[in-house]
Amino acid sequence: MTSEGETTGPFWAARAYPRGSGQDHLGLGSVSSDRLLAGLSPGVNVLTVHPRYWSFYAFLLDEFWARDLPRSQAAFRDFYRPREALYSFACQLCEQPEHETLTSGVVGSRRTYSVIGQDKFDPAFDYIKEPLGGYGLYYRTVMESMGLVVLTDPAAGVVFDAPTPEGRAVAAGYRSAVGGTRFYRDYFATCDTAVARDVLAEFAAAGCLCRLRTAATADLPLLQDVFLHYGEPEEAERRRATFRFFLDFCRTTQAEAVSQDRFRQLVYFRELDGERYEPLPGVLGTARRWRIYQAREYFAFAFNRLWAWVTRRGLELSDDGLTLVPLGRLWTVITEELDDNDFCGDLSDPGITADMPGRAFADWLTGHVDITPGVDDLWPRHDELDEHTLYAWCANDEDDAGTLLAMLAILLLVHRRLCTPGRQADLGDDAALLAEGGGQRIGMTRFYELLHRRLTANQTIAELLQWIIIDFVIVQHERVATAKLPHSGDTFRFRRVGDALRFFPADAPTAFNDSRFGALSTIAHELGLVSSLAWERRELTASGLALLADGDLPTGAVQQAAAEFHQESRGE
Amino acid sequence: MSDVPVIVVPEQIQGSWTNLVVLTYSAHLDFFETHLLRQLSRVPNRIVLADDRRLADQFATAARSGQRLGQANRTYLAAPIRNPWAAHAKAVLLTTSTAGRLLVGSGNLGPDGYAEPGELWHRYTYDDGIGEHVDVFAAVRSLIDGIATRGWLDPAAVAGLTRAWSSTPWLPPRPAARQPLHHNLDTPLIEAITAAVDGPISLLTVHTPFYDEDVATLGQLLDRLRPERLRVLLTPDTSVDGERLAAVVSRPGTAVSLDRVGVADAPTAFLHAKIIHVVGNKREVLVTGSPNLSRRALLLPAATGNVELAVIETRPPGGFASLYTPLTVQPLSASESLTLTFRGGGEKAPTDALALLYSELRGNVLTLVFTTATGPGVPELFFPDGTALLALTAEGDGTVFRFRLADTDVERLTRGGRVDVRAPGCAEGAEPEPTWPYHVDALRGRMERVGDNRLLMSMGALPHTDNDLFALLRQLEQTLIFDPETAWKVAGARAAAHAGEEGDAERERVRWEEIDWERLYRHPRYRGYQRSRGPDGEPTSEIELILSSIAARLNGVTGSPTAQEQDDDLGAGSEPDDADGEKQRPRGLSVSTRTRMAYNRLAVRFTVALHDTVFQEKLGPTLTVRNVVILGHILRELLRDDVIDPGRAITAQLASWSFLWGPDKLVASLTGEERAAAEQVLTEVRARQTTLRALCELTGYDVDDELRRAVRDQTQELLLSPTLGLDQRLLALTAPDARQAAALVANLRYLAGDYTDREIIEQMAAHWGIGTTSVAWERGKVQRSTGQGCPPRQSEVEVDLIRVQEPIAGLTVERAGTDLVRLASLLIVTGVDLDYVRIRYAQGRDVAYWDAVAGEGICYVGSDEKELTELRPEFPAWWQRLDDLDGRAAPAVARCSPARSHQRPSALV
Ligand SMILES: [Zn+2]
Repeated sequence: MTSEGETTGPFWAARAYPRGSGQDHLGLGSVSSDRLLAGLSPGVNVLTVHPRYWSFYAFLLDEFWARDLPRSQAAFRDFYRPREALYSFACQLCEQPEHETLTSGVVGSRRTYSVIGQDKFDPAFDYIKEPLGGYGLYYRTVMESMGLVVLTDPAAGVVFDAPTPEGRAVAAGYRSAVGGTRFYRDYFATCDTAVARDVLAEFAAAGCLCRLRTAATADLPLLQDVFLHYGEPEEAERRRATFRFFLDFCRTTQAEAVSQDRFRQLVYFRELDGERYEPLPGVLGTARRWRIYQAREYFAFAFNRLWAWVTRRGLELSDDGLTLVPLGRLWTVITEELDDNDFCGDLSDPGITADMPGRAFADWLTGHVDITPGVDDLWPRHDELDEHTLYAWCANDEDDAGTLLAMLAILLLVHRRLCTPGRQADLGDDAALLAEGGGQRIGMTRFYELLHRRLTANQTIAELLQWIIIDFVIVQHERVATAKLPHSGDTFRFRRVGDALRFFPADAPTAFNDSRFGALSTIAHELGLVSSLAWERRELTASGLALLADGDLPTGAVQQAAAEFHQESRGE
Repeated sequence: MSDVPVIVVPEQIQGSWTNLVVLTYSAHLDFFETHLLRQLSRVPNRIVLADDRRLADQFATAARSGQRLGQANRTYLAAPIRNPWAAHAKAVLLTTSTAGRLLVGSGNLGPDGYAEPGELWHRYTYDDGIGEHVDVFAAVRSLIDGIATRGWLDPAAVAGLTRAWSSTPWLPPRPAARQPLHHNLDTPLIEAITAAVDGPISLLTVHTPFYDEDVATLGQLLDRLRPERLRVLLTPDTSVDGERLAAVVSRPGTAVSLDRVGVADAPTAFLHAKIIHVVGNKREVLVTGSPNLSRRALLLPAATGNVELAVIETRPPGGFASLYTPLTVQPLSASESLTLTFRGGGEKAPTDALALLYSELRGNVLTLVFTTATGPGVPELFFPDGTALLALTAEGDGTVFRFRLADTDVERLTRGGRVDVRAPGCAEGAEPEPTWPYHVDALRGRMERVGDNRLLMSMGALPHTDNDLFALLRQLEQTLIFDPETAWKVAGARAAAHAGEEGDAERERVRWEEIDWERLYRHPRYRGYQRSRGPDGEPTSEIELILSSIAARLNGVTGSPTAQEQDDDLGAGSEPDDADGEKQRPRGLSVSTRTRMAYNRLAVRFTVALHDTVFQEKLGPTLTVRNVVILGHILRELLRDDVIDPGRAITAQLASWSFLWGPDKLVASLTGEERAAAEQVLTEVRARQTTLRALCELTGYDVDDELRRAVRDQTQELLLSPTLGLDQRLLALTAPDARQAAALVANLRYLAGDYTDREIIEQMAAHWGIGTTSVAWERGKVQRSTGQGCPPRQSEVEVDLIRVQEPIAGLTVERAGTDLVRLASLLIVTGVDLDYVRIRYAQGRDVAYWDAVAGEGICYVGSDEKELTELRPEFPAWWQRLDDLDGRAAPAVARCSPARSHQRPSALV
């Protein structure tokens, strides 16, 4: 600049936040994961898939504490990384029959897999970026919540993560499984030389993730006890109830594997492939809460799918973001397309247009989909109009009027099934789950209260969609993207500017949130309760049958095994 | 475009200011609350003044969509400007009692206006003593005051502004000299523009996103300026009727080009900047800021038009050339100009329908003010969830209503958010009107509670932004007296020079002999160190506040003051679990080199000052104890957050521990009341536990040899320091869990016994009184019994041994035995699990060894021979102290325990 003194401008403004792709653009995911699922399966999350990692990490911590090493993150990292790297190799070299049902979730396998063909394996292999690997990334906090470790806390005088007596008991269990292996005897102590294939394979035969099921004299009974009884008592009870529920429903539709998609349908409708699932009386409450969870997933999907609709259609209307799109123009497009929809397909069209009252649309829907059965009953499927069918029909990027109507239909069906005042009363205390999300993350209770008023006021399909898109898609997206600016960058897909919308070119994926089905079913299987849910013809083990019948298994294994360590920590 | 200055607006709106006043048309309060407020947490007086209708829209949308805006009108003011038409001026004013920053431009408060390309800004800074730009700041103040005097602001906003001006004494109410800012409160902007222009005009370039429907204002501008050439910059989003535009600009004597303009590296950016660029022969005039080419912006005063704020700058020819560098400009095709349309909207005529103007909460009284008289009765009030507020009494005259509320409702109200109001006589089923009451007491209280050193008061945890971190350093320097430099500034021989941020490098060395100590002892900053408590027992001096903040942090009260203010953070935690598993580490504070270097410098200054015993004596124990506690805490936090060079921080920590706990050092030297007073402070902030924990944390750092040795020696000293007094009780206080206590002891053992092989040689050489070059480690082959068989088998194995290459005077078998004890003890201390030690002497076949596995040894000196059946190590006192603490029996090296085969690798390399 040519002006004298300090430059005062003019300055062009620069972008303050880099563009980011982001996820969960309406911020609804945390209602599922942090609230509903946290209540249904405390201590297990999407990525804590293999129960034996609880043993393995407790074991590594215990071995670390048995050595004269500084108790610092750096010292533990140096001890931990070579051993987990080799474990990652071992779990892929495993030749045991049980390994057939272990398909994923080996920490570090993304990198270790690429060199699995070698003859010798280097403990210094950089198997993962995170300094404390799978422990630091996924398992550390859940192990704490189940009482196996205490975590570093300078203010409380916890110098470094340490196994509790219970954690040491589990570690000892694991050690008894692998103590006789050549790897443990000859390599583990220093872990500074390459290890041959057969040595790791032999170690895997004893210590692989898959071999927990056979470790009846080692860590298996301890982990069963931990998963069913440890952590906060109330949390343990809910976790136990969920495992029992899994053992219950997995006995239906035996001809097929249970996938997450089939799980959702079983949970929600209790009918699949013409087969019915009737929960055991003791499982009914848990089954109901899982059903509410899945209702929330359909509900959230509807908004997310409308968001994707607006994003993609907006980019089209705005010449890939080059021009503003007046909101009025968006409404015109929606109205015109609604008037020319083919939502009904082979069903007789009751005259679905933009002007059709929402209530009439809902009546027509429930004329086909039988929503009369109560909150604990089986909900009959409908080939063309039930929630899952509509979801599957729209789980793509076809953004037409049919999609708009299908999403509205999902919201209306969930409303009448679970969220009318009468149905909420039937849910009793569980109705509180519908309120999760509140005003910030589209709580169902609040949304349906507002929807009810609009239906009563005889608002049309177009009016309802306009309201939903403005208040729960556009405004919600703006809020979430605004909140993410500092850490995730600019993830806006669109934003209001006066009475128009600006669009930003970026993708708009939509999917359900992970239901933790993968983790929960794998844990149930690997804890030796049931054959793999990913296979046909599930069979419950003796323990599984006992848990299903009694709602619990005997406890005490951990307490007994931990007794000596309790004594030790009291300095006796 | 590297030479074109750019500005990142949110980066400008942070720091430890006292006042923030934002002028904006639309106010994206969500953006303001969730993002900007985070970096403005230390600014007590925060005022957003926005167009009344846009703000009402914003609040209505928030109410409808369940957005809480829990801080609005509670921790900051979001107040409407109620002029008849649009309040369109855009500015950001930040001030303290001595400084200011001002942004004036085209962007509205929100992600579009502040965070995207396409806006133009000017930035002015003011610093007391330099005094530049004071008239520019005064011009903005005169606009704001003018808005207030016209009665366009609510009383709460006026009160907020009064607080702002009274805490900004340097800011005059109106400019005293010519300056570039112009508003239209009295005179239309077009007058100021015309006045700035002189002589014939060769080129007029204009860009504004909005025009009049009839494009009349551009016509007027052309009538006045009569340029030879006119260049109209247009985007597909320009709101203008293409045909009318063509008609208006086509006039004799003016060559016209219609160009399409865009931001070069952001093609989708919305070009919202307003440009009127007048090129004459002798000079150029550039008009930027808020006004569009519309009647109400340019041709009318605020009474009948908008409120606008423009920057009108004059420069020599070519002075604004770089303005267009980041833009792409190309001729607009005829067909494109036809697609331009006037979008209308924006300008809504004033109405005088019944509406709620505003509400105020004072104590237990909620006041509602309506535009006109309501129907008979009193309004009904609800919380967002539909619960009615309980009014103990209600009185009103039809326009103003006062409700005395129940305590529980007041308590709920003070947590922020809206109240829904149903006016008496409104239609059945009509939506209630939302209002965010002005929390009059809370807003005023924010200003009263805090002085200029707010960062210090929450110092328990370090601030989260680089700017605040840097500001904290300055505040520390302005509060503490911890080295000659800070002392000199308080009571130097001359008045302290302006403490520049950049000038430190050249700052001349302070000679503390020049410090006037008597003056220093009288200085308020010195007296601030004296223990002082208010009538309620609350700390009052800044030093006391800092100490209590540290104590709170160490007691596990970790939340920063803003934490409770945050609503549910929509951005955080909503990401689904990362399936790929390369998650970010928590809170990676990004710290600038400037800040890092400044803290490095602080550490060095502190270290030097601690070694200056005469200076510390002059300061006296009251100051020094507190300094060590405060700076020690800061150092530990800085180290943990990786904000400082570990070498410098650890050096300073060692110096401070030595200073505090060392033999004959500070604590040891105090007696009587002085000692008791110091002990009280040390106990409150748990200085002993903190020292041990911080020391223990040093195991996590790799430092150079010299510092490693210093850490080792300091650890040994602290273990034995009577004033620190490490005993079972202190250990239990420091690490309540037995295993963690053992870990702490293990870490201390590791630090104190950190001898390398080279240092073992040095120790042995000193023991023998010979040069270190005469002693060396070497590998050698010896016969040893191996295996556990009975009788044990002998075989040749390689071992590490010490070779002495110089004769040792007076060597006997007894002395050789002592040598073995010494070497074995040293090795054990370094963490080696003793297996076999051997010393090969220089003369003849003199040798001594001890085989721990076999439990036997021998010394040969000359012809003497002595068999050993046991070897009792002799450990240093600090080692025994640690053994006492963890109850570990001293190893009698009669046998090596086979279970422990681990060796510390570094010891024998
Ligand atoms: Zn396996």
